[in-house]
Amino acid sequence: MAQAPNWSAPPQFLDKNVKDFCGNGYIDDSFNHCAHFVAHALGLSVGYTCKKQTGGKQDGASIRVHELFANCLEVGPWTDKQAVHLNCLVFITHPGNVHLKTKMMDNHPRKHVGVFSNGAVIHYSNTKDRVVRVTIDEFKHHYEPPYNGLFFGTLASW
Amino acid sequence: MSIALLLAATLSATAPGTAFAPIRDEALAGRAVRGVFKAASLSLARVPSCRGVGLTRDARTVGDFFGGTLAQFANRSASGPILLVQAQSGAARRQWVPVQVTLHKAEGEEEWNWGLRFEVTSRGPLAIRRVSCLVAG
Repeated sequence: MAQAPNWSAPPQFLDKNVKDFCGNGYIDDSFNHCAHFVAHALGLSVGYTCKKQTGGKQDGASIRVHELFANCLEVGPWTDKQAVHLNCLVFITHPGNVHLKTKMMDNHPRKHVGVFSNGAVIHYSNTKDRVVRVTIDEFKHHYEPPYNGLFFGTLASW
Repeated sequence: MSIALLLAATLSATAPGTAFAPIRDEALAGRAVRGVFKAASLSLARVPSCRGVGLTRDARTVGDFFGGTLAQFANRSASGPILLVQAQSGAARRQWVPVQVTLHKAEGEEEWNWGLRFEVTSRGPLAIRRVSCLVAG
C-alpha cells in the first residue's frame, strides 16, 4: 500500500553514498543516482526501479527522473511554485525537455532531481558520490544554461 | 573531430553477487560491442527495462536509444573513458557471457552511464539474448 512521503527522512541521508542506502545492490558509482536517492529517501517506487534492475530482495526505488516527473501530482515552473508547497521535488533540465500539459519529461541524460525541504535542496551529487544539501540558488547552477530550467513536482501518496 | 570510443576500465557491482569487470580479451570485447548493433532493431516497448528510455519522442528501437545516447558525445572531448565494455566476473568462458556496453559521461556535475546489458555468445556465430537497458538519472 502506498504511503505518504516522509519528508523528514532526506536529511538523514546527508553525506551517504549509494551503497549506504540501496539494499538491492544498484551501487555502481558511475551510474546516476539522483532519482534513485530521492526515491529511497521518500519511499517512491514508480516506473523502473533498482529492484527490477538487479533482482534484489529489498523494496524497490525509482531510478529515472522522467518517471518521477510523470508521476507527480502537480508539476510546473519553479517560479510558479506556491508558497504552501513547503516540501516538493525540484527538477532541473532544458525547458524544451519538459512538456507541462502532458506532465511528461523527455529522457535526456542532462536532467537532475532533488528534494526541496525546509528551504534547501537535498540531492545526490554524482561527482561527489554522496548526498549533499545546497541552496536553491546553488542548485540553479547545477547545469549551465540552457539546461538550468527549474521545475517543481508535488507528491501524493504513492 | 571524430567521436572518441575508448575501451574502459572500471569495476561495477550491479546486483548482489553480480559484479561486472572490464573485458580484457579483445575478441570478447569486440563481440560485446557488435552485440549492441545486433540488438539495434529490438523494439524498446517490448523490453520492460527499455520502455520510455528513448531520448527523442520518435525513438522506437534499441538502436534509436543507443544512437541518441552516443550523439551526446558528438564533437566533444572527454577526460576519461566513454565506452565501457564489461563482462560478468568469471563468466568469460561460458557459451553465453553476460556483458554490458555503456556510454559514460562525467563532466562537471553531470555524470551518467547508459547502455545495454545482454548475453553474447563467446565463440561461434555471434548471437545475443536477454537484452536490457541500463538507464538511471
